[in-house]
Amino acid sequence: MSTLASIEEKLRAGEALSFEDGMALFMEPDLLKLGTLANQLREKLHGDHTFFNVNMRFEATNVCEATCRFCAFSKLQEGQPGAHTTTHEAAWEELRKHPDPRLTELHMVNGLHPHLPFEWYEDLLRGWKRVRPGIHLKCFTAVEIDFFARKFGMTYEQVLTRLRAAGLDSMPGGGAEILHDDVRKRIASDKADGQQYLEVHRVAHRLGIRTNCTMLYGHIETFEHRVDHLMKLRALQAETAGFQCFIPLAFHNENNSMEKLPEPTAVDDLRVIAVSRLMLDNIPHIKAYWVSMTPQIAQVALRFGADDLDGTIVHETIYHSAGSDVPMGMTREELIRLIREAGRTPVERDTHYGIVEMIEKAAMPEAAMKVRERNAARRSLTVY
Amino acid sequence: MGTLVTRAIEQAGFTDICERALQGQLSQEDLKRLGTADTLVLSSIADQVRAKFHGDEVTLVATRNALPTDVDALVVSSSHRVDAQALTGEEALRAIALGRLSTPPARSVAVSWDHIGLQLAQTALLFGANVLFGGIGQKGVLPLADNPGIRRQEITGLVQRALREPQWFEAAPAQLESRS
Repeated sequence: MSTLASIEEKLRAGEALSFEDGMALFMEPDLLKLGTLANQLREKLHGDHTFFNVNMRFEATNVCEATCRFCAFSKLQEGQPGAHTTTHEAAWEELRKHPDPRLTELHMVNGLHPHLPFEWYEDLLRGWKRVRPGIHLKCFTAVEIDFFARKFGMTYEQVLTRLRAAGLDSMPGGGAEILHDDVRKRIASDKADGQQYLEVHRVAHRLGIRTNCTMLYGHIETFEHRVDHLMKLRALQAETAGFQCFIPLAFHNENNSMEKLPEPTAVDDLRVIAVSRLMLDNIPHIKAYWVSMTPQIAQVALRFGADDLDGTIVHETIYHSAGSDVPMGMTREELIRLIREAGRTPVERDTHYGIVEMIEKAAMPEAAMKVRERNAARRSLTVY
Repeated sequence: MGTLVTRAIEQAGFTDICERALQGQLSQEDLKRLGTADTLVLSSIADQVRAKFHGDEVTLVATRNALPTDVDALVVSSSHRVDAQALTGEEALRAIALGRLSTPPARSVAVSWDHIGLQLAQTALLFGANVLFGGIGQKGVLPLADNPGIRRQEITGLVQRALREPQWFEAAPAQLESRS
């Protein structure tokens, strides 16, 4: 039987955790214990380095053939209110006018548009590289790649090879949802299945394209489905070593067809971060995505196994159309403040985790004293 | 608390301080050292004090109802903005844990969801808080300035999700009851 002690033993020996271990972690009542264990692995891998980047997001189209039940974009058709497809010029202009010279990455995910030709996407990427040759293009989920392959009669390898020739540098991890068939058939039945999601990433890794991976949690899935999901990602990583980062994504319940489900809460978010860190010991980075978790809880997650806060983003629309009220973007200074005041060392990174700039950490005793002083001042005012 | 956390506390050199915290005998010097402790070590010690003296029950109080007399309220507010005077999430939780430890252990420690938000208020239950208080409203009926949609059942649910036992201190007036 898996216990926290036996799991700790395995972690110390560098052994992979089993399905039973994963279940035991999800069912462990003491979240601080889980956090302590996950934080030990996090610090073994990265010390107190905490990564972020200066990036921007772009969604070229929210028109989508798929009908995923958790998605507030679901099955938008061209011409419907709210449906939007960019022009090339507008997309290139967005990058041209981006105010931050430190910008290193453009992240794009899209709906599965029924009519745009493949060349349209190639031209889009080429144009961005003309506007800003050094920009890293992290574009298209595995679900989009699978869609292109089916729609345009190509293999995954042909799709990826052509996109890379047009400027694609790496791929985001979206579209994983829950890989297990029982869940996927119910929430995302008409797009790439779990096998196909993994196969696209396998092919990308073989071609030398690094990717991220994700899990959408907190809807109808069970702990078994989550552990199964993590085990599948771990197995592919053992084969290819091509994943850079795992990003758990919390389900949000507005403007989609699953509005009656309660959303995951902060303790659920922290637990998923901790268990992911422990189960995915071969994936280097675990990201606390602040858009999904709120900046506050994402910061706390840096103690529960996460080592990356994502980036400045500037303009996020996917979560915001599902009811998220967190800010649309954060400044570089805000990200640095969150990391420093958590007593960690902020490391501005590029997409492949190369160091752009290491920022000096705050002197911990000083930060802690500041907390004590503010707290003392407040307490004297507010004891009822 | 299992051996894992005990060992983490020991490795950080806080075993004696943890003992004294559980006896309610922390000195000013101890509190100063706790101010420099790793966040999880600090929270684990605060959580042990909470568990020993207050168990798993969480008292919930709607504002306008006075807090029980054995409760100290920590007003900690939180924001991620650079120019904000408020604390970031982790700082707020550290302040709450330190507040727990610098308060006599038999007294309860309360934080307000109006000031730190529901998600951090829930997380504060792991950092020594055992009372949550704040405004209660119902969507579209009695919109309170900062928290129009916060309902009793939502807060009850947050406490249950944190594996604690919610207990409302005083029934709110009937017209504020959520029926949704």
